[in-house]
Amino acid sequence: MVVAVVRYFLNGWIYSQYLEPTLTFTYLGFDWVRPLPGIGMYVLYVVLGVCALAVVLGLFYRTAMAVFFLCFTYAHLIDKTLYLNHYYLFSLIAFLMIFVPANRGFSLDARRKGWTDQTVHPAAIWVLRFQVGVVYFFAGVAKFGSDWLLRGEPLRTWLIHADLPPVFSTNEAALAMSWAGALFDLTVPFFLLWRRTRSYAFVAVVLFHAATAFLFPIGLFPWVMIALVPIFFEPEWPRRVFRRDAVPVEKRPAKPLAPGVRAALVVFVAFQLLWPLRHVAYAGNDLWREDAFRFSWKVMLVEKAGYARFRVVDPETDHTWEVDPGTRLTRVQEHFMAYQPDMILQFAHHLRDEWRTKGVPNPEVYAHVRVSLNGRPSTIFVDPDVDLAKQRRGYAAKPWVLPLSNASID
Amino acid sequence: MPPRIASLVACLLVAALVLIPACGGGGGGAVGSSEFNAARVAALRDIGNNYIMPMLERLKARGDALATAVTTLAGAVNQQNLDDVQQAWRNARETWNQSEAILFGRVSQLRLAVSVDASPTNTGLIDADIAGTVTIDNSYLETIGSTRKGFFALEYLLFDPVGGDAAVLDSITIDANAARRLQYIDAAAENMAQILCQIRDIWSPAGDNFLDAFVNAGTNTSAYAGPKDALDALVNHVLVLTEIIADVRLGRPLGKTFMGVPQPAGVEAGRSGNSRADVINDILGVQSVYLGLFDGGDIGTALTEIVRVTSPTIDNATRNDIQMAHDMAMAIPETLQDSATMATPTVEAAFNQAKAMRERMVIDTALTLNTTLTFSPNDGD
Repeated sequence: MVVAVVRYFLNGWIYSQYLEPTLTFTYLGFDWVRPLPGIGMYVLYVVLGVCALAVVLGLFYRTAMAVFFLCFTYAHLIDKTLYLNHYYLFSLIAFLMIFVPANRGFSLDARRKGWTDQTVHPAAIWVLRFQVGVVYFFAGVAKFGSDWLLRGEPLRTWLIHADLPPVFSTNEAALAMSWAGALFDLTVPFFLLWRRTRSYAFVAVVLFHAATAFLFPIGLFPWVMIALVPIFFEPEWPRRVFRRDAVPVEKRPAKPLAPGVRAALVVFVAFQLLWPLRHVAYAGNDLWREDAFRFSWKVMLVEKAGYARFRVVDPETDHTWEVDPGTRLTRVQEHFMAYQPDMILQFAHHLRDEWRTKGVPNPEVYAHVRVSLNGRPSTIFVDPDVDLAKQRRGYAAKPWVLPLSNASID
Repeated sequence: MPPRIASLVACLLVAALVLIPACGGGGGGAVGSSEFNAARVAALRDIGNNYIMPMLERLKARGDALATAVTTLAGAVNQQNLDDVQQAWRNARETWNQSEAILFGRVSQLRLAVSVDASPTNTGLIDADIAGTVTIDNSYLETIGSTRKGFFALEYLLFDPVGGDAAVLDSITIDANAARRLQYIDAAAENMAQILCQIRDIWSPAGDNFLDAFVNAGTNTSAYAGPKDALDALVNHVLVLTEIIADVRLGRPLGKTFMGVPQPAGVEAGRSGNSRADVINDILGVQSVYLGLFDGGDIGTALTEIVRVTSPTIDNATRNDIQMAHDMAMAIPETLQDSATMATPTVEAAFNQAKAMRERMVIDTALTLNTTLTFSPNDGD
């Protein structure tokens, strides 16, 4: 995370992601989360970097971890445009690690306080293993769809465009890699849990993520997963590797967890197991509709592009205004908004509010949106006759999102 | 699961991840990335050598022809010479609009297009210059802003939709400051010819040789990291032009951003009545780059061939949308300025088709060309 923070400064992302946008796509219930004024966001990232460093050193660990969690989560709740699965994972891991005494050994805190007991409760390790396993397992579950398994998409599209030997861009290769990827995601947490297969599974993890990092520009995600997976090894592995002369830690029976901790763990585990499956409550193709896409470990499933234009109508005068979202959004925001229904609705509401301030009391807002999904020709995405100004934000299905049509060119 | 079987499964998993892609299939019915990349490299070569260079040579020639015609007019002001100048202006404008799709890279960085195509022109300042005492020549025009020179400054001085050619002739013969007005026309034509020549020289192998940077993208001397970057530059520029065609050339006179009330004065080149031709020639420029056509002849590999490697369906749709946009623009009665109010449905239809062309190219065509290929927000940073 220290590296990630440095990248934010070096790449100018603090400005481009937080200060340049004039409006943000907030999460439902978190509309109050806004970019901090002035140099606030820069300060927040400095704090993030300092906390991350403190966590690495094990210095004032728990405080640093808690501040890190709050700052990181705040920064990534500001705008849906910034959503990345691995940022969500960072937040979850950071949250869990507030309660995991990871500073018991190899830390300045341990040296400062003279701690001799370097053990933690098994639940502290298992909850982290569970969290990493959830990512893989649900990423695998999400791949059990026709696009991934039968069409080899979006891998096929990506491989055709990659500068690779021709064999990689065959349909057969795309399908083989898709199936292998799905099986890998689905099974690897279990192979990691099993001592006899753990080493092989770890090698597979490294090869798999190294291959995806080589083939696709997907940032830190592969390296983050490779760094997280050693949690599946026996807890004493760092001691074995880095301090072979150390006295082996005596294993003692774990004390029972306090009822409150147990209850909290049950709630956390239940949420993590159920929330990624919420798409079953919605009709239609979730890759298209994205009703339940975020926070569900749907990784590398879509290659989407969209184009959105809006029309504001004053019903009293019949005056109309065509609105190019590019005049109000950054290019990145416009790109992601153009195929994500909840962001399309938020932008429509923004236009409604803007026109109200301009003296149009009841503006109607219509969207003309075309979207292409996983190699299909683009098609109309949003019902152009629905007044989005009157549609409510929420978790309910959005009937104004038209079904994915497999019909080709219209 | 017995340990031995579990170990075997894990080994197979590793083997599958590493070996299957390397051995997968024999290519039956499949598409090879080498075919895609080869088409891309060939397109850079053929578009650069067989389309961009000849088009920029023609653009320079038409700029020179306009300057020559103006010199002739300055020597003998009469209706025939004025007609020749106006026709030379229209010819240069035609080539300019057909070239707009290729004015990217160094030309764009140096803002040379803006220097000859800034609209609206600042007529007040031009009149002030003519009424003033400053020496009006090319050296002076090099020092002033783009709204006082280029196509639209010349259009302002050479066309008069109210008084007609008689008024123009009067303005450069008998009106007060007639001589300085003629000097301004002469200087503006010379200045524009110079900039069009500069644009040609930037690409020319005898000049800055940006052609080499484009065609041989990825070499040490190239401005582009590789063929993908070079093609991206071209495609993105074409996409911007499709937006201008829809939103500016057609949407503005229809008042699309102004309550839907037609704004005939919003047309570009309205004074010369060239607005409709501007739209048609812009679309022809897009079509030529996409199909690889120069003067109706095939230049070799162009965007269509690259798209076809991945999706013949999208290639056909793109061709169809561009052709329909052209046909719909052709259907607009002259002038666009008048049609914005008197034939609004026809202009509206052309606007909608121009938007359809843009949508097709921004989403499907660009995606197929790997231009806007981006990963899902869930996949990485």
